Amino acid sequence: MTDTGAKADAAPYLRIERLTKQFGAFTALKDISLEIFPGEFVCFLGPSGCGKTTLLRAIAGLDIQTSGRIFQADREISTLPASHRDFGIVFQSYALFPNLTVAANVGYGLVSRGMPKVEIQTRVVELLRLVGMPESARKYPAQLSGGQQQRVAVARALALSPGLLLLDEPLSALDARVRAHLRSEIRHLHQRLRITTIMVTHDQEEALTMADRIVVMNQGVIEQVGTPTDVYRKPKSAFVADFVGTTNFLPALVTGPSEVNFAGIALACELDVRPGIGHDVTLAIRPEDVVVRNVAATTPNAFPARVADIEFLGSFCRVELAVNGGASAIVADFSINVVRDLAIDEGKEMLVALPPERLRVFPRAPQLP
Amino acid sequence: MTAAAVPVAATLPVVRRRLDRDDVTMRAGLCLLIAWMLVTLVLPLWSLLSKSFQDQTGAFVGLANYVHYFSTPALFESVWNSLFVAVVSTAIVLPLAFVYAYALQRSCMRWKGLFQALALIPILAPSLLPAISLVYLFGNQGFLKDLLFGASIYGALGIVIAQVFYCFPHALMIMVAALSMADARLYEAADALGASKTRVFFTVTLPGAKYGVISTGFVIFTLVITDFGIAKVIGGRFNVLATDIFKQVIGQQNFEMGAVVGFVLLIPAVVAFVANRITERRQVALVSARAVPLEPKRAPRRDWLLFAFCSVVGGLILGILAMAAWASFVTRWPYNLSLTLKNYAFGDFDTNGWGAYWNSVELATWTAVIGTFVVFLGAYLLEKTRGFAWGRGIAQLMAMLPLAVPGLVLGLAYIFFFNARGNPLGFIYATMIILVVNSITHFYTVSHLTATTALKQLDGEFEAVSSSLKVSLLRTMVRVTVPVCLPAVLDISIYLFVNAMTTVSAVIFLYSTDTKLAAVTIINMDESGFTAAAAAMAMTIVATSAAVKIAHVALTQRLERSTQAWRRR
Repeated sequence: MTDTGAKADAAPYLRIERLTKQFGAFTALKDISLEIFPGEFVCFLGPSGCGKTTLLRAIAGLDIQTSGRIFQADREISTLPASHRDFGIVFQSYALFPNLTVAANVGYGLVSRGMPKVEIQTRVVELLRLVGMPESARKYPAQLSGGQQQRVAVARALALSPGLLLLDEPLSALDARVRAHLRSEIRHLHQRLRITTIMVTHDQEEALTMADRIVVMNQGVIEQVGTPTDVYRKPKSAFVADFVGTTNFLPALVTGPSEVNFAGIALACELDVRPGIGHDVTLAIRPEDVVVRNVAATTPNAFPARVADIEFLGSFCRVELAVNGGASAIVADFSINVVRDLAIDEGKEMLVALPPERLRVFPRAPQLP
Repeated sequence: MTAAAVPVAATLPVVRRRLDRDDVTMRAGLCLLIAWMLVTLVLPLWSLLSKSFQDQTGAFVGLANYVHYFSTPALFESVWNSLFVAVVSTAIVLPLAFVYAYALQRSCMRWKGLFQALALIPILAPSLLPAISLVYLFGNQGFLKDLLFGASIYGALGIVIAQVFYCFPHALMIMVAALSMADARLYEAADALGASKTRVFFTVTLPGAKYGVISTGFVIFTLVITDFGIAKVIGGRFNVLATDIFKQVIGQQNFEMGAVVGFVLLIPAVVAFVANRITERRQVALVSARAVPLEPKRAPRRDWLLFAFCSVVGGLILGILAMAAWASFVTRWPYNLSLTLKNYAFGDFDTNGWGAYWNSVELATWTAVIGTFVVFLGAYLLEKTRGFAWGRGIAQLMAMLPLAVPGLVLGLAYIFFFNARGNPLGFIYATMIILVVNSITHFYTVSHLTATTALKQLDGEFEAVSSSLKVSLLRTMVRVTVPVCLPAVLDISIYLFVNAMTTVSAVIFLYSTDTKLAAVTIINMDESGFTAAAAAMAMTIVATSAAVKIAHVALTQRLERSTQAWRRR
């Protein structure tokens, strides 16, 4: 875990120690510990109900944790109310004040600070320019599009120059095209301001494209913390492999120190977990990692397969491969190039390979195939 | 890291959030709200309850009063009479209001706006008005008396007719709301499956409005059983619970027995209230957010039938109203039908004269101003703040309670509580203050629900955003919450004004010679035989309520225009 994002040598800006949150009998967060470094863009990623928003609200002091401690910039903030913490927040609904103009919304916190009117105006103009909306100061939120409202909400959250920016599913309410656009804009804004940012999302694509580091959460625990490449390439659990991207899960049996047997085929792989010979495991491989070009019988982990079904998806095809006479199936993504060059079509028999370094091995998870 | 390490966490100390200024303000506000509700509602009711277990000397006598009550047929008979009248009135109002609401919401008949406005007029009148009208129409000297074929309007018959008039708009409003939500896709699906119109009505329309109908039933039942004015004017010898309380307390000065009857009257009201709450909880949203609103289609035969129905019902409402209006201008019914204004010279019929009217206006104004403030602030505290769960639970419960307490019972409870020796608040007894406090409490729940509904429509994160921007809740309330909720605030104040203007039941025990109210003088003048003056006073109240209501509509429209830049739809 040493790629781009983690700055292990710097002191963490935000430190979360053994955080637990209980709603009655339900435990929303189970003993969470996490460090976030200055200037980092971190995404909390997980399905709904995994506790990611609960964690964000605990950091903000909006819903206080049941136990555990939080430090921000070396100051313990565990028991502080939200009004005494240092953060700006953007909600999924944006929560813009409908009866105030854009300028009044952005300047809302500044007025209460007793800042002189002229300074407020300058600051508001500066903030609106920052989010690319210099002309909308006198409009009301209802007159703006969803994407524009979102930017105003970001400008308002940045008004008091907080040390921490919290984004609670800020893009979920937008349609796909606007979302993709704003994704890169928020990212650019972050690169410019270098403000430590936490974004909650259930959209893996959003997390992969925007975050320095991703915190994958499930049922109140952290499944994995890592860079987008780490999380995608080396998922630490079957859950992560399944939730982030698409993955083939193949039942297999450990037959050697670095060998498993899947559907009667011996496969070489790197065994991080060592369940021991004779144990059931689950193999995971991404559809795009299945190789078909230049595969010979001598290629590692090569075996014959038959194209059972082929689905055209624009830039690539999703191909269902029947293995071992149809006893097992693997899904593979082949680029249009490959499909054309190799004349892949339904019923075609060919050799495919699962590269050993691309195979992940997990303990047999009962809920997975 | 995936391994569950749950039990360890339990050993860590539980974190308690420190309170900031907003938390302290909010808690202080909630404590004040609870104190207000204790003093204006819970403690008086407690006095009433304990009084019913005492004899005239104040000694505890256990259930003796109740035993006496239930073993005296003359008293106990009222229970059956009240139930009978309430059930019959409800049974008549329900289908009438349903068809009327159906015509307004689901047909293409003409003049819908006119019919809707017409049907809501009775809300502006005191319940005494239809009773007085009926006396003129069918009473001993009524000009339509022969239509009754010898039956007397004084009694159950008159009560039921007057109640139907008085309750109709209340029922109509709930039914209209229940029928306003419909998913056009359900009707298209039913059509596509070849269902007949009748079948569609019974399988789609009626189930969709089911809870509205049930709820209306409970509301009307409660209105009728707790109403005092109608039975007083037209009940004759037909005794009901509400008039019994009045007779026991005012007539015989038997406060203990009054308390017993009050408690007995509380039972059906509370039962209906609880049943209604349970029904509401069962109600699941049949109409999802993605529903396609139903546009009624033309069906000439149906539309004309409904038009005829609404014309008849609307005509009856107008007739009863017109009767009272006419009577108020007639010189001497039925001998001299020439028109005059002398019935409006109230000084000739009652010592307070027009003073009573101005007292009512004063009461209504104070109730509207102070009541709106208390109710909205209370609803805000309950809806928009966090923490202090037990305090909020208690306050929430107490905010719903007034709906189940009949006005007469509340008024009687106020006598016992505020007139008790040693009560430091006793100084408000027999003043305008007690009337205002009583009126606010009496009409608290509906106002509270209006405020709550409006507040619920606001984004739930406004308060979180303010604290992240270090802005106090109070400031956000003044700058954002109140302006956005202004239409609801106006609705509440108008509701309080009109109700304070028209009510008799709660205040009949609490007025003094200086603070006599218009609605009370109607009863007094009617009792003294000045029926025309009573009708005139009732019309004066209607005119005032109507004027205020029209001003409200105009103000709301102006507000909507001036704020349309930021209000969606």
